[in-house]
Amino acid sequence: MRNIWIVAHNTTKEILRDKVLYGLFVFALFLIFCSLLLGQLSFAEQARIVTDLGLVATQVGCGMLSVFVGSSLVWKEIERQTVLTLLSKPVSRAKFLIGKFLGLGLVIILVDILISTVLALLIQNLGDVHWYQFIVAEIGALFESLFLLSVAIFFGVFCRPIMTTVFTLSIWVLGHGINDLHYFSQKSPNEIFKAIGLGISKFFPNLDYFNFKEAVIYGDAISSLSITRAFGIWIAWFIILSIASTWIFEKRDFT
Amino acid sequence: MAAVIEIQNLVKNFVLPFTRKRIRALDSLSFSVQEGGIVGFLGANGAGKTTALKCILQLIFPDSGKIQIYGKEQSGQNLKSKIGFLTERPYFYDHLTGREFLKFCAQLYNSGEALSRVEPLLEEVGLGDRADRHLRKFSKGMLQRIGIAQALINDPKILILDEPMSGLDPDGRAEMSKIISKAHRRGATILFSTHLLPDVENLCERVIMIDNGKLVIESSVTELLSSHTSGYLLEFRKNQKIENKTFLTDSELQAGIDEVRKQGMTIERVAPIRPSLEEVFLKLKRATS
Repeated sequence: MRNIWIVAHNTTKEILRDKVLYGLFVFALFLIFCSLLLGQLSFAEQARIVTDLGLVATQVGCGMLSVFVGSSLVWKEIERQTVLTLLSKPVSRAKFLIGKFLGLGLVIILVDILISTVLALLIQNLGDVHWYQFIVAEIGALFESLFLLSVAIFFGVFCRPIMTTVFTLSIWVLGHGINDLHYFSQKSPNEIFKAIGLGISKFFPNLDYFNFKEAVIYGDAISSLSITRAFGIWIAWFIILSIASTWIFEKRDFT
Repeated sequence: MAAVIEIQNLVKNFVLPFTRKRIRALDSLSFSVQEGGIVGFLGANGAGKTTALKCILQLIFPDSGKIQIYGKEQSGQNLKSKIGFLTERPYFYDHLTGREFLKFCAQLYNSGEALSRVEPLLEEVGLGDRADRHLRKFSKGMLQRIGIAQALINDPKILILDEPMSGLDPDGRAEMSKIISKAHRRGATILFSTHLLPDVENLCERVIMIDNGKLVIESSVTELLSSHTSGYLLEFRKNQKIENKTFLTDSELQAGIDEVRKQGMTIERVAPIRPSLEEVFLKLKRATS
Protein backbone atom coordinates (compact mmCIF):
# COMPACT_ATOMS: atom_id res chain seq x y z
CA MET A 1 0.00 0.00 0.00
CA ARG A 2 2.84 2.37 0.90
CA ASN A 3 4.43 1.95 -2.52
CA ILE A 4 1.15 2.90 -4.22
CA TRP A 5 1.28 6.26 -2.41
CA ILE A 6 4.95 6.73 -3.29
CA VAL A 7 4.20 6.16 -6.99
CA ALA A 8 1.09 8.37 -6.72
CA HIS A 9 3.05 11.15 -5.02
CA ASN A 10 5.71 11.04 -7.72
CA THR A 11 3.05 11.13 -10.45
CA THR A 12 1.33 14.11 -8.82
CA LYS A 13 4.65 15.91 -8.54
CA GLU A 14 5.42 15.14 -12.19
CA ILE A 15 2.10 16.56 -13.40
CA LEU A 16 2.22 19.61 -11.12
CA ARG A 17 5.64 20.44 -12.56
CA ASP A 18 4.35 20.09 -16.13
CA LYS A 19 3.25 23.15 -18.10
CA VAL A 20 0.38 21.23 -19.75
CA LEU A 21 -1.58 21.32 -16.49
CA TYR A 22 -1.39 25.10 -16.25
CA GLY A 23 -2.38 25.43 -19.90
CA LEU A 24 -5.55 23.42 -19.24
CA PHE A 25 -6.25 25.34 -16.04
CA VAL A 26 -5.93 28.68 -17.82
CA PHE A 27 -8.18 27.34 -20.60
CA ALA A 28 -10.88 26.45 -18.04
CA LEU A 29 -10.61 29.90 -16.41
CA PHE A 30 -10.80 31.49 -19.86
CA LEU A 31 -14.08 29.62 -20.46
CA ILE A 32 -15.48 30.90 -17.17
CA PHE A 33 -14.56 34.50 -17.98
CA CYS A 34 -16.03 34.09 -21.48
CA SER A 35 -19.26 33.05 -19.76
CA LEU A 36 -19.14 36.36 -17.84
CA LEU A 37 -18.91 38.26 -21.14
CA LEU A 38 -21.71 36.20 -22.67
CA GLY A 39 -23.78 36.75 -19.56
CA GLN A 40 -23.61 40.50 -20.20
CA LEU A 41 -25.72 39.97 -23.34
CA SER A 42 -28.72 38.96 -21.28
CA PHE A 43 -29.35 40.71 -17.98
CA ALA A 44 -32.09 38.28 -16.90
CA GLU A 45 -30.23 35.11 -17.81
CA GLN A 46 -26.75 36.23 -16.73
CA ALA A 47 -26.59 33.93 -13.69
CA ARG A 48 -27.80 30.93 -15.69
CA ILE A 49 -25.35 31.52 -18.56
CA VAL A 50 -22.39 31.96 -16.23
CA THR A 51 -23.34 28.92 -14.14
CA ASP A 52 -23.98 26.73 -17.18
CA LEU A 53 -20.76 27.69 -18.98
CA GLY A 54 -18.82 27.60 -15.73
CA LEU A 55 -19.91 24.03 -15.08
CA VAL A 56 -18.99 23.15 -18.67
CA ALA A 57 -15.55 24.67 -17.98
CA THR A 58 -15.07 22.32 -15.02
CA GLN A 59 -16.27 19.33 -17.03
CA VAL A 60 -14.14 20.15 -20.08
CA GLY A 61 -11.05 21.23 -18.08
CA CYS A 62 -10.97 18.11 -15.89
CA GLY A 63 -12.05 15.88 -18.78
CA MET A 64 -9.25 17.17 -21.03
CA LEU A 65 -6.78 16.66 -18.21
CA SER A 66 -7.90 13.03 -17.96
CA VAL A 67 -7.83 12.44 -21.69
CA PHE A 68 -4.66 14.25 -22.71
CA VAL A 69 -2.46 13.70 -19.66
CA GLY A 70 -3.98 10.28 -18.88
CA SER A 71 -3.37 9.02 -22.43
CA SER A 72 0.38 9.33 -22.13
CA LEU A 73 0.61 8.58 -18.41
CA VAL A 74 1.56 4.90 -18.72
CA TRP A 75 2.91 4.98 -22.26
CA LYS A 76 5.48 7.67 -21.39
CA GLU A 77 6.86 5.40 -18.68
CA ILE A 78 7.09 2.48 -21.11
CA GLU A 79 8.52 4.52 -23.98
CA ARG A 80 11.17 6.25 -21.83
CA GLN A 81 11.87 2.98 -20.01
CA THR A 82 11.39 4.53 -16.57
CA VAL A 83 8.98 1.65 -16.00
CA LEU A 84 11.94 -0.77 -16.15
CA THR A 85 13.69 1.01 -13.29
CA LEU A 86 10.50 1.16 -11.26
CA LEU A 87 9.33 -2.41 -11.83
CA SER A 88 12.78 -3.79 -11.05
CA LYS A 89 12.18 -2.47 -7.52
CA PRO A 90 9.65 -3.91 -5.05
CA VAL A 91 6.66 -2.42 -6.90
CA SER A 92 4.15 -4.79 -8.45
CA ARG A 93 2.64 -3.92 -11.81
CA ALA A 94 -0.83 -3.57 -10.25
CA LYS A 95 0.49 -1.17 -7.60
CA PHE A 96 2.26 0.83 -10.29
CA LEU A 97 -0.99 1.26 -12.26
CA ILE A 98 -3.05 2.14 -9.18
CA GLY A 99 -0.35 4.63 -8.15
CA LYS A 100 -0.43 6.28 -11.56
CA PHE A 101 -4.25 6.49 -11.42
CA LEU A 102 -4.21 7.96 -7.92
CA GLY A 103 -1.47 10.45 -8.83
CA LEU A 104 -3.35 11.98 -11.74
CA GLY A 105 -6.67 11.47 -9.92
CA LEU A 106 -5.44 13.71 -7.08
CA VAL A 107 -4.46 16.42 -9.56
CA ILE A 108 -7.91 16.20 -11.20
CA ILE A 109 -9.56 16.55 -7.77
CA LEU A 110 -7.37 19.59 -7.06
CA VAL A 111 -8.18 21.21 -10.42
CA ASP A 112 -11.90 20.47 -9.95
CA ILE A 113 -11.85 22.13 -6.52
CA LEU A 114 -9.94 25.17 -7.82
CA ILE A 115 -12.22 25.74 -10.82
CA SER A 116 -15.31 25.16 -8.69
CA THR A 117 -14.08 27.69 -6.13
CA VAL A 118 -13.43 30.32 -8.80
CA LEU A 119 -16.89 29.65 -10.28
CA ALA A 120 -18.57 29.74 -6.87
CA LEU A 121 -16.96 33.12 -6.09
CA LEU A 122 -18.22 34.49 -9.41
CA ILE A 123 -21.79 33.26 -9.28
CA GLN A 124 -22.54 34.05 -5.65
CA ASN A 125 -23.06 37.72 -6.52
CA LEU A 126 -25.19 37.03 -9.59
CA GLY A 127 -28.29 35.79 -7.81
CA ASP A 128 -29.56 32.83 -5.86
CA VAL A 129 -27.37 29.79 -6.24
CA HIS A 130 -28.58 26.26 -5.54
CA TRP A 131 -25.49 25.27 -3.61
CA TYR A 132 -26.42 21.64 -2.97
CA GLN A 133 -27.06 21.06 -6.68
CA PHE A 134 -23.89 23.00 -7.50
CA ILE A 135 -21.76 20.75 -5.31
CA VAL A 136 -23.38 17.57 -6.67
CA ALA A 137 -22.81 18.82 -10.26
CA GLU A 138 -19.14 19.53 -9.56
CA ILE A 139 -18.72 16.08 -7.99
CA GLY A 140 -20.50 14.62 -11.04
CA ALA A 141 -17.99 16.35 -13.34
CA LEU A 142 -15.19 15.00 -11.16
CA PHE A 143 -16.48 11.43 -11.37
CA GLU A 144 -16.87 11.73 -15.13
CA SER A 145 -13.22 12.83 -15.37
CA LEU A 146 -12.09 9.96 -13.15
CA PHE A 147 -14.04 7.56 -15.35
CA LEU A 148 -12.29 9.01 -18.42
CA LEU A 149 -8.97 8.57 -16.62
CA SER A 150 -9.73 4.86 -16.08
CA VAL A 151 -10.53 4.57 -19.80
CA ALA A 152 -7.31 6.40 -20.77
CA ILE A 153 -5.21 4.16 -18.50
CA PHE A 154 -6.93 1.05 -19.88
CA PHE A 155 -6.08 1.96 -23.49
CA GLY A 156 -2.71 3.38 -22.42
CA VAL A 157 -1.41 -0.01 -21.27
CA PHE A 158 -1.48 -1.39 -24.81
CA CYS A 159 -2.00 1.53 -27.25
CA ARG A 160 0.10 4.47 -28.32
CA PRO A 161 -0.96 7.85 -26.84
CA ILE A 162 -2.52 9.10 -30.08
CA MET A 163 -4.77 6.03 -30.32
CA THR A 164 -5.53 6.18 -26.59
CA THR A 165 -6.57 9.83 -26.97
CA VAL A 166 -8.80 9.02 -29.95
CA PHE A 167 -10.46 6.06 -28.20
CA THR A 168 -10.97 7.95 -24.92
CA LEU A 169 -12.34 11.04 -26.68
CA SER A 170 -14.68 8.79 -28.69
CA ILE A 171 -16.03 7.22 -25.51
CA TRP A 172 -16.44 10.69 -23.97
CA VAL A 173 -18.43 11.97 -26.95
CA LEU A 174 -20.37 8.71 -27.32
CA GLY A 175 -21.12 8.66 -23.59
CA HIS A 176 -22.87 12.02 -23.88
CA GLY A 177 -24.72 11.09 -27.04
CA ILE A 178 -26.12 7.76 -25.88
CA ASN A 179 -29.60 9.08 -25.04
CA ASP A 180 -29.89 10.71 -28.46
CA LEU A 181 -28.46 7.70 -30.24
CA HIS A 182 -30.89 5.39 -28.46
CA TYR A 183 -33.83 7.69 -29.19
CA PHE A 184 -33.10 8.13 -32.90
CA SER A 185 -32.12 4.52 -33.52
CA GLN A 186 -35.38 3.26 -32.02
CA LYS A 187 -37.32 5.65 -34.28
CA SER A 188 -35.46 4.38 -37.34
CA PRO A 189 -37.14 1.94 -39.72
CA ASN A 190 -33.74 0.31 -40.34
CA GLU A 191 -33.52 -2.79 -38.12
CA ILE A 192 -29.70 -2.93 -38.27
CA PHE A 193 -29.34 0.70 -37.12
CA LYS A 194 -31.92 -0.02 -34.41
CA ALA A 195 -29.91 -3.03 -33.18
CA ILE A 196 -26.59 -1.13 -33.30
CA GLY A 197 -28.11 1.84 -31.44
CA LEU A 198 -29.54 -0.47 -28.80
CA GLY A 199 -26.25 -2.39 -28.50
CA ILE A 200 -24.18 0.77 -28.05
CA SER A 201 -26.58 2.29 -25.55
CA LYS A 202 -26.52 -0.93 -23.50
CA PHE A 203 -22.76 -1.50 -23.68
CA PHE A 204 -21.22 1.97 -23.36
CA PRO A 205 -21.62 4.03 -20.19
CA ASN A 206 -24.12 6.84 -20.32
CA LEU A 207 -22.14 9.84 -19.12
CA ASP A 208 -25.28 11.97 -18.83
CA TYR A 209 -25.86 10.19 -15.54
CA PHE A 210 -22.98 12.32 -14.18
CA ASN A 211 -24.50 15.52 -15.54
CA PHE A 212 -26.43 17.55 -12.98
CA LYS A 213 -26.05 20.95 -14.65
CA GLU A 214 -29.74 21.48 -15.30
CA ALA A 215 -30.56 20.88 -11.64
CA VAL A 216 -28.13 23.69 -10.69
CA ILE A 217 -29.61 26.10 -13.21
CA TYR A 218 -33.29 25.38 -12.56
CA GLY A 219 -33.00 24.40 -8.93
CA ASP A 220 -34.50 20.94 -9.55
CA ALA A 221 -34.25 18.46 -6.73
CA ILE A 222 -31.63 15.74 -7.21
CA SER A 223 -32.90 12.41 -6.00
CA SER A 224 -30.67 10.16 -3.98
CA LEU A 225 -31.47 7.47 -6.54
CA SER A 226 -29.81 9.43 -9.37
CA ILE A 227 -26.75 10.06 -7.19
CA THR A 228 -26.56 6.38 -6.21
CA ARG A 229 -27.03 5.34 -9.85
CA ALA A 230 -24.22 7.65 -11.01
CA PHE A 231 -21.90 6.40 -8.29
CA GLY A 232 -22.86 2.76 -8.96
CA ILE A 233 -22.12 3.13 -12.68
CA TRP A 234 -18.82 4.81 -11.91
CA ILE A 235 -17.67 2.19 -9.42
CA ALA A 236 -18.73 -0.70 -11.72
CA TRP A 237 -16.80 0.74 -14.67
CA PHE A 238 -13.84 1.61 -12.45
CA ILE A 239 -13.61 -2.00 -11.23
CA ILE A 240 -14.04 -3.48 -14.73
CA LEU A 241 -11.45 -1.15 -16.30
CA SER A 242 -8.98 -1.55 -13.42
CA ILE A 243 -9.14 -5.35 -13.58
CA ALA A 244 -8.80 -5.34 -17.38
CA SER A 245 -5.91 -2.81 -17.34
CA THR A 246 -4.05 -4.72 -14.63
CA TRP A 247 -4.58 -8.07 -16.37
CA ILE A 248 -3.16 -6.74 -19.66
CA PHE A 249 -0.32 -4.90 -17.91
CA GLU A 250 0.62 -7.99 -15.89
CA LYS A 251 0.94 -10.03 -19.10
CA ARG A 252 2.90 -7.63 -21.24
CA ASP A 253 6.61 -7.81 -21.97
CA PHE A 254 8.68 -4.66 -21.64
CA THR A 255 10.98 -5.06 -24.61
CA MET B 1 30.60 -21.48 -4.63
CA ALA B 2 26.84 -21.61 -5.04
CA ALA B 3 25.08 -20.37 -8.14
CA VAL B 4 23.23 -17.14 -7.46
CA ILE B 5 21.56 -17.01 -10.86
CA GLU B 6 20.90 -20.19 -12.79
CA ILE B 7 19.21 -20.12 -16.16
CA GLN B 8 18.13 -23.35 -17.83
CA ASN B 9 16.91 -23.75 -21.40
CA LEU B 10 15.41 -20.31 -21.63
CA VAL B 11 13.35 -19.77 -24.78
CA LYS B 12 11.72 -16.52 -25.82
CA ASN B 13 10.03 -15.77 -29.11
CA PHE B 14 8.68 -12.40 -30.14
CA VAL B 15 5.85 -12.21 -32.61
CA LEU B 16 6.00 -9.28 -35.01
CA PRO B 17 2.77 -7.32 -35.32
CA PHE B 18 0.81 -7.61 -38.60
CA THR B 19 3.13 -10.19 -40.24
CA ARG B 20 2.85 -12.51 -37.18
CA LYS B 21 6.42 -13.59 -37.94
CA ARG B 22 8.14 -15.21 -34.97
CA ILE B 23 11.60 -14.06 -33.98
CA ARG B 24 13.53 -16.28 -31.62
CA ALA B 25 15.35 -14.01 -29.19
CA LEU B 26 16.54 -16.70 -26.78
CA ASP B 27 17.18 -20.24 -27.92
CA SER B 28 17.56 -22.78 -25.09
CA LEU B 29 19.91 -20.43 -23.28
CA SER B 30 21.52 -21.84 -20.15
CA PHE B 31 24.16 -20.30 -17.91
CA SER B 32 24.88 -19.66 -14.27
CA VAL B 33 26.43 -16.87 -12.23
CA GLN B 34 28.33 -17.88 -9.12
CA GLU B 35 28.10 -15.99 -5.85
CA GLY B 36 30.47 -13.06 -5.50
CA GLY B 37 31.59 -13.02 -9.11
CA ILE B 38 31.76 -10.27 -11.68
CA VAL B 39 30.49 -11.72 -14.92
CA GLY B 40 30.61 -10.04 -18.30
CA PHE B 41 27.68 -10.80 -20.54
CA LEU B 42 28.82 -10.44 -24.12
CA GLY B 43 27.16 -10.55 -27.48
CA ALA B 44 26.63 -8.50 -30.59
CA ASN B 45 23.64 -6.19 -31.02
CA GLY B 46 20.48 -8.27 -31.06
CA ALA B 47 22.21 -11.33 -29.59
CA GLY B 48 19.61 -11.49 -26.80
CA LYS B 49 21.56 -10.03 -23.87
CA THR B 50 18.96 -7.46 -22.82
CA THR B 51 16.13 -9.97 -23.30
CA ALA B 52 17.89 -12.46 -21.01
CA LEU B 53 18.53 -9.80 -18.35
CA LYS B 54 14.91 -8.65 -18.52
CA CYS B 55 13.75 -12.26 -18.13
CA ILE B 56 15.76 -12.50 -14.89
CA LEU B 57 14.02 -9.32 -13.68
CA GLN B 58 10.58 -10.55 -14.81
CA LEU B 59 10.19 -7.61 -17.15
CA ILE B 60 9.88 -10.11 -20.01
CA PHE B 61 8.24 -13.51 -19.56
CA PRO B 62 10.05 -16.43 -21.22
CA ASP B 63 8.06 -18.95 -23.27
CA SER B 64 9.81 -21.83 -21.52
CA GLY B 65 12.82 -22.56 -19.36
CA LYS B 66 13.71 -22.01 -15.75
CA ILE B 67 15.30 -19.11 -13.89
CA GLN B 68 16.49 -19.81 -10.38
CA ILE B 69 17.80 -17.18 -8.00
CA TYR B 70 19.55 -18.60 -4.93
CA GLY B 71 18.34 -22.06 -5.97
CA LYS B 72 14.66 -21.16 -6.10
CA GLU B 73 12.28 -20.01 -8.79
CA GLN B 74 11.58 -16.71 -7.11
CA SER B 75 8.94 -14.25 -8.03
CA GLY B 76 7.56 -10.96 -6.87
CA GLN B 77 8.88 -8.44 -4.44
CA ASN B 78 11.12 -10.80 -2.48
CA LEU B 79 13.33 -11.22 -5.53
CA LYS B 80 13.36 -7.54 -6.38
CA SER B 81 14.50 -6.46 -2.93
CA LYS B 82 17.76 -8.41 -3.51
CA ILE B 83 18.49 -7.01 -6.96
CA GLY B 84 19.80 -3.72 -8.27
CA PHE B 85 19.29 -2.97 -11.96
CA LEU B 86 20.62 -0.36 -14.33
CA THR B 87 18.79 -0.26 -17.63
CA GLU B 88 20.37 0.36 -21.00
CA ARG B 89 19.98 4.01 -22.11
CA PRO B 90 18.96 5.21 -18.66
CA TYR B 91 16.27 7.86 -18.74
CA PHE B 92 14.71 8.93 -15.51
CA TYR B 93 12.02 11.34 -14.38
CA ASP B 94 12.81 14.75 -15.88
CA HIS B 95 10.88 16.66 -13.27
CA LEU B 96 12.91 15.35 -10.35
CA THR B 97 16.31 16.46 -9.17
CA GLY B 98 19.01 13.83 -8.73
CA ARG B 99 18.55 13.83 -4.96
CA GLU B 100 14.73 13.62 -5.19
CA PHE B 101 15.01 10.72 -7.64
CA LEU B 102 17.32 8.74 -5.36
CA LYS B 103 15.04 9.40 -2.37
CA PHE B 104 12.06 8.26 -4.43
CA CYS B 105 13.87 5.00 -5.30
CA ALA B 106 14.94 4.49 -1.67
CA GLN B 107 11.37 4.94 -0.38
CA LEU B 108 10.21 2.06 -2.58
CA TYR B 109 12.32 -0.34 -0.47
CA ASN B 110 10.41 0.65 2.63
CA SER B 111 13.56 0.72 4.73
CA GLY B 112 15.34 3.50 6.53
CA GLU B 113 18.61 1.91 5.54
CA ALA B 114 17.99 2.60 1.84
CA LEU B 115 17.14 6.23 2.65
CA SER B 116 20.31 6.61 4.69
CA ARG B 117 22.31 5.54 1.63
CA VAL B 118 21.12 8.46 -0.53
CA GLU B 119 23.77 11.02 0.49
CA PRO B 120 26.76 8.62 0.64
CA LEU B 121 25.82 7.23 -2.77
CA LEU B 122 25.55 10.71 -4.30
CA GLU B 123 29.08 11.34 -3.05
CA GLU B 124 30.28 7.94 -4.25
CA VAL B 125 29.09 8.53 -7.81
CA GLY B 126 30.49 12.07 -7.79
CA LEU B 127 27.17 13.91 -7.91
CA GLY B 128 27.16 15.32 -4.40
CA ASP B 129 27.40 18.94 -5.53
CA ARG B 130 25.10 18.57 -8.56
CA ALA B 131 22.33 16.50 -6.99
CA ASP B 132 19.86 19.39 -6.83
CA ARG B 133 19.81 19.85 -10.59
CA HIS B 134 16.82 18.53 -12.48
CA LEU B 135 17.50 15.26 -14.29
CA ARG B 136 16.57 16.83 -17.65
CA LYS B 137 19.71 18.96 -17.29
CA PHE B 138 21.93 15.92 -16.64
CA SER B 139 24.48 14.86 -19.26
CA LYS B 140 24.64 11.25 -20.46
CA GLY B 141 27.50 10.52 -18.05
CA MET B 142 25.65 12.07 -15.12
CA LEU B 143 22.53 10.04 -15.94
CA GLN B 144 24.65 6.90 -16.00
CA ARG B 145 26.02 7.83 -12.55
CA ILE B 146 22.61 8.50 -11.04
CA GLY B 147 21.52 5.25 -12.72
CA ILE B 148 24.17 3.21 -10.96
CA ALA B 149 23.38 5.02 -7.70
CA GLN B 150 19.70 3.99 -7.89
CA ALA B 151 20.79 0.42 -8.67
CA LEU B 152 22.91 0.41 -5.50
CA ILE B 153 20.39 2.13 -3.23
CA ASN B 154 19.24 -1.12 -1.58
CA ASP B 155 22.80 -2.44 -1.21
CA PRO B 156 21.83 -5.30 -3.55
CA LYS B 157 23.15 -8.84 -3.34
CA ILE B 158 22.84 -9.09 -7.13
CA LEU B 159 23.67 -6.20 -9.41
CA ILE B 160 22.49 -6.44 -13.02
CA LEU B 161 23.82 -3.75 -15.34
CA ASP B 162 22.78 -3.42 -18.96
CA GLU B 163 25.53 -1.67 -20.92
CA PRO B 164 26.73 0.46 -17.98
CA MET B 165 29.69 1.84 -19.94
CA SER B 166 27.94 2.77 -23.16
CA GLY B 167 28.19 6.41 -24.11
CA LEU B 168 30.75 7.21 -21.44
CA ASP B 169 34.08 8.87 -22.12
CA PRO B 170 37.28 7.14 -20.88
CA ASP B 171 37.15 9.02 -17.56
CA GLY B 172 33.53 8.06 -17.10
CA ARG B 173 34.30 4.43 -17.87
CA ALA B 174 37.13 4.41 -15.35
CA GLU B 175 34.79 5.94 -12.72
CA MET B 176 32.10 3.38 -13.51
CA SER B 177 34.64 0.55 -13.25
CA LYS B 178 35.65 1.83 -9.80
CA ILE B 179 32.02 1.94 -8.65
CA ILE B 180 31.40 -1.59 -9.93
CA SER B 181 34.57 -2.89 -8.24
CA LYS B 182 33.54 -1.23 -4.98
CA ALA B 183 30.09 -2.86 -5.12
CA HIS B 184 31.83 -6.18 -5.75
CA ARG B 185 34.09 -5.67 -2.74
CA ARG B 186 30.96 -5.05 -0.66
CA GLY B 187 29.88 -8.57 -1.63
CA ALA B 188 27.56 -8.05 -4.58
CA THR B 189 27.40 -10.57 -7.40
CA ILE B 190 27.56 -8.61 -10.63
CA LEU B 191 26.30 -9.50 -14.08
CA PHE B 192 26.78 -6.85 -16.72
CA SER B 193 26.33 -6.75 -20.43
CA THR B 194 28.65 -4.71 -22.56
CA HIS B 195 30.16 -4.20 -25.98
CA LEU B 196 33.36 -2.78 -24.58
CA LEU B 197 35.59 -5.81 -24.25
CA PRO B 198 38.61 -4.08 -22.68
CA ASP B 199 36.37 -3.25 -19.70
CA VAL B 200 35.39 -6.90 -19.39
CA GLU B 201 39.03 -7.90 -19.54
CA ASN B 202 39.84 -5.47 -16.72
CA LEU B 203 36.84 -6.08 -14.49
CA CYS B 204 35.47 -9.56 -14.98
CA GLU B 205 36.45 -12.93 -13.67
CA ARG B 206 34.11 -14.78 -15.99
CA VAL B 207 32.41 -14.17 -19.30
CA ILE B 208 29.25 -15.47 -20.87
CA MET B 209 29.07 -15.01 -24.60
CA ILE B 210 25.84 -15.42 -26.54
CA ASP B 211 24.93 -15.15 -30.19
CA ASN B 212 21.45 -15.36 -31.73
CA GLY B 213 20.07 -16.17 -28.31
CA LYS B 214 22.33 -19.20 -27.88
CA LEU B 215 25.21 -19.69 -25.51
CA VAL B 216 28.56 -19.54 -27.31
CA ILE B 217 30.87 -19.85 -24.34
CA GLU B 218 30.84 -19.60 -20.57
CA SER B 219 34.32 -19.46 -19.13
CA SER B 220 36.76 -17.60 -16.92
CA VAL B 221 38.50 -14.74 -18.73
CA THR B 222 41.95 -16.21 -18.03
CA GLU B 223 41.01 -19.68 -19.30
CA LEU B 224 39.38 -18.23 -22.37
CA LEU B 225 42.39 -16.12 -23.27
CA SER B 226 44.84 -18.96 -22.48
CA SER B 227 42.94 -21.41 -24.65
CA HIS B 228 43.39 -19.02 -27.55
CA THR B 229 47.13 -18.51 -27.04
CA SER B 230 48.66 -18.37 -30.49
CA GLY B 231 52.34 -18.86 -29.50
CA TYR B 232 55.11 -17.49 -27.28
CA LEU B 233 57.28 -14.44 -27.39
CA LEU B 234 60.92 -14.68 -26.29
CA GLU B 235 62.79 -11.44 -25.68
CA PHE B 236 66.57 -11.56 -25.20
CA ARG B 237 69.51 -9.16 -25.04
CA LYS B 238 72.07 -9.43 -27.84
CA ASN B 239 74.95 -6.94 -28.03
CA GLN B 240 73.13 -4.55 -25.67
CA LYS B 241 70.11 -4.60 -27.95
CA ILE B 242 66.81 -6.28 -27.13
CA GLU B 243 65.62 -8.65 -29.81
CA ASN B 244 62.70 -11.06 -29.92
CA LYS B 245 61.56 -14.29 -31.52
CA THR B 246 58.16 -15.98 -31.63
CA PHE B 247 57.48 -19.70 -31.30
CA LEU B 248 54.28 -21.55 -32.09
CA THR B 249 54.58 -24.47 -29.67
CA ASP B 250 55.89 -25.11 -26.20
CA SER B 251 58.66 -27.44 -27.44
CA GLU B 252 59.83 -24.90 -30.00
CA LEU B 253 60.00 -22.34 -27.22
CA GLN B 254 62.13 -24.66 -25.02
CA ALA B 255 64.51 -25.28 -27.92
CA GLY B 256 64.68 -21.51 -28.56
CA ILE B 257 65.51 -20.79 -24.90
CA ASP B 258 68.30 -23.41 -24.97
CA GLU B 259 69.73 -21.87 -28.14
CA VAL B 260 69.73 -18.34 -26.68
CA ARG B 261 71.46 -19.54 -23.50
CA LYS B 262 74.02 -21.52 -25.48
CA GLN B 263 74.98 -18.32 -27.29
CA GLY B 264 75.46 -16.58 -23.93
CA MET B 265 72.61 -14.11 -24.37
CA THR B 266 70.38 -12.93 -21.53
CA ILE B 267 66.72 -13.80 -21.56
CA GLU B 268 64.67 -10.69 -20.77
CA ARG B 269 61.11 -11.98 -21.04
CA VAL B 270 59.07 -15.04 -22.01
CA ALA B 271 55.34 -14.47 -22.52
CA PRO B 272 52.46 -16.25 -24.19
CA ILE B 273 51.00 -14.40 -27.15
CA ARG B 274 47.41 -13.95 -26.12
CA PRO B 275 44.76 -12.38 -28.27
CA SER B 276 42.61 -9.63 -26.82
CA LEU B 277 39.13 -10.61 -25.70
CA GLU B 278 37.90 -8.73 -28.72
CA GLU B 279 39.85 -11.01 -31.06
CA VAL B 280 38.57 -14.11 -29.23
CA PHE B 281 35.05 -12.77 -29.38
CA LEU B 282 35.25 -12.22 -33.14
CA LYS B 283 36.87 -15.60 -33.67
CA LEU B 284 34.18 -17.41 -31.68
CA LYS B 285 31.44 -15.43 -33.39
CA ARG B 286 32.81 -16.36 -36.83
CA ALA B 287 33.04 -20.00 -35.75
CA THR B 288 29.42 -20.14 -34.58
CA SER B 289 28.01 -18.36 -37.61
